[in-house]
Amino acid sequence: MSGILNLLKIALEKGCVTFNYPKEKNLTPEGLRGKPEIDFNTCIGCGACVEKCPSNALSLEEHEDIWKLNLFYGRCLMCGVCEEECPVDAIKLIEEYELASKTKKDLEVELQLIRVKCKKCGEYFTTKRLIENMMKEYLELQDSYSDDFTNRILNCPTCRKKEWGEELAEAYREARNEN
Amino acid sequence: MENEIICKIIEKFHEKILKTHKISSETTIFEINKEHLSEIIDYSYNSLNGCFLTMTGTDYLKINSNFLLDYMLGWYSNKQIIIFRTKIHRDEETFTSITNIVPCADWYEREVKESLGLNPLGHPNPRKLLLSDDWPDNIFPLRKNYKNEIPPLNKEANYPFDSPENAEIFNIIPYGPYHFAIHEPIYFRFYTEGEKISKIDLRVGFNYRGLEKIAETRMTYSTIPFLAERICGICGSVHAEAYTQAVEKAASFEAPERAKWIRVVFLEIERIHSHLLWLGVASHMVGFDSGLMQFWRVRDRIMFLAEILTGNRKLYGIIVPGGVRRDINNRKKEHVLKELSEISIEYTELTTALLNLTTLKTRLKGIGFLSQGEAKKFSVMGPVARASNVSIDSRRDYTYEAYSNLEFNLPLRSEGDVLARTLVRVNEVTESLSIIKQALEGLPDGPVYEPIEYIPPDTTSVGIVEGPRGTDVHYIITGENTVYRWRVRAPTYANLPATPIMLKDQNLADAPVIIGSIDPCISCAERFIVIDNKNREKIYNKKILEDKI
Repeated sequence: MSGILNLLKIALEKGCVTFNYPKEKNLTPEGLRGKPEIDFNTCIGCGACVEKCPSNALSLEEHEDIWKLNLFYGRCLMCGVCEEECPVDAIKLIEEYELASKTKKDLEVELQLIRVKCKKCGEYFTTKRLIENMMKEYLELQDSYSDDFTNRILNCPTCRKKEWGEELAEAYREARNEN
Repeated sequence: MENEIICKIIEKFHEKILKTHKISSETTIFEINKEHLSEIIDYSYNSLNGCFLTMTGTDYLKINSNFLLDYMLGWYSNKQIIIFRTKIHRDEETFTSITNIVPCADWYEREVKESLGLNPLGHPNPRKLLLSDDWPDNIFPLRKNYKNEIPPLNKEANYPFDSPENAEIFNIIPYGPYHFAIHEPIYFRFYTEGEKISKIDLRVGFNYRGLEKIAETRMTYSTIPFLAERICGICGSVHAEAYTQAVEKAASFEAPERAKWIRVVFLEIERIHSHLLWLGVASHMVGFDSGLMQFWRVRDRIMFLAEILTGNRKLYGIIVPGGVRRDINNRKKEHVLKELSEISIEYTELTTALLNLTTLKTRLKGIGFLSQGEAKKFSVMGPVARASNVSIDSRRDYTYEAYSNLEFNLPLRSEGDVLARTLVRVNEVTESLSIIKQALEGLPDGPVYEPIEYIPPDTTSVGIVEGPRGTDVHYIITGENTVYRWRVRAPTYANLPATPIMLKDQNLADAPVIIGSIDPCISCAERFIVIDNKNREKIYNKKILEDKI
């Protein structure tokens, strides 16, 4: 019998411990991994987050003159890998966790990024913001842009490879002629 | 010095062992011919008292035109694991079953049969295990040439249940496929005489998700830990840890010292919350709901601690190959230590009050008995084994992370009944609380993450972690950029085949808590079975249900 009385004592002492949700909200602790939010003004469209996302909640869609970065909360694990990977801190996990919605559309976020054309072949390649970011980062390391950098920054990777290949072949030919 | 077990096996079978290679300090691979397999395993398992850890089949056709079969046996007291590897040529597609010698190999061999199409000759029970009834017979999902374009056959489900010889004297009681208290799919068929259960048949595999295949085909080394965590909703980071350990061993990489200690904190937090969850559910299963409320009240404080440390109540997403993803700062550390001391007072108070209740005790005492001999025979793991006086714990025996620096006792009971399993878990929580305290107080300084440079392909590696339910074994063969083969052996896979023994000759009313006493962890259902009073069964599959609606 004493067992039951002890239990009753504990139950009365502790009382009700639940919250009257949603009227009364439980405080979320600092560093809660909630919904990831993309800062549209800083994202450069590099795709680092897309590469590392374990559940493919983030995807990059390629169109003629834009890239679409899609984030679908329905697949998101709230693991925060994207936040760690982002080179410009454009993606942050905020403390919001109530994501239930009646339509799928509410759970989708889309960011459109303008692409730039290659100076040589005229094909669209990377995003404008990525080039701008690259130019900014270059200035942090060097005082001014070198000729090589300004000549090549707007060439697409295929054209750049071709150019380097030609230069290499040229150098090789010269070296052979000298011998 | 060579290990005693290895010496004994080599001494007896030196001509029959083709090759040996050591893959880590405690693991050795013995390559043997398939003709000698049953003889060598018989000696190692039955005479040397090994513990069956896992068995894996691998499609290695592209590399050496063979299938690989790996039988993994462990000797906890000798800190030794041996993998017996045998090759099966692509044209043969058969091997000799060892289920008659090692009863716990039953499920593993059936799984190899289904997933790889290798037929275990002489298997006493060659029914389906994991795949659904309408899965085509000649398509094997874990072969590398499998293409995911075959539609299900949509044929009528027809699972051959075991039926006793004089079936008409028994009542058939279906139990499942949805366990009412653990909310997971498992189907038991009880043949009862009055209240007494005389024969039991068990069916699992209602939602085989094929996680291993997803990992092998779609994911990379760094994203698999997140998938591994989702194998189980309760002991997720145990799986992430076991996978991480296997990858780190394959890469001969040592995680930073601080990361090792932090991992211990998360693994123990998970053990506490899992055991408290189980204690609550067990109280509920015997109709004692005050116990459920009180245990879960204490458990929620642990969940808040996890939320503070990781950002999530569950599915921490913290342990990855290379270290951990979040550090514990001093402020958090102080807070957790303060909370822990309060929780441990509250917990002791609660368990003393509850476990002195005669109603609860009499309900749990003397039911679901598993003797020490049978526990060893079925290689059961974790608290189930420790309640039957089998002293195994991979934290102590195959020590990993920072466990070698921490002091803890191993609660052992010799009764082997449900009460013993409850008491083992109750005492383990106290031990875990002390482990977390020691780990937080002794936390060394330094980085928590270092990237792994290179993971060599074609390396076999094993990760062993003591989860709340028992030893969790992850076996990997590395490939290019991702795992070539990943085999997960969760502890329930070892414990569940022993439930028919515990249930034999028990009362029907005790069945829920006996099944619950191994803390089973299964997954979600897709169909249900109705049996009418004339013992004729009618099976509703998804299609019929949809038509009816």
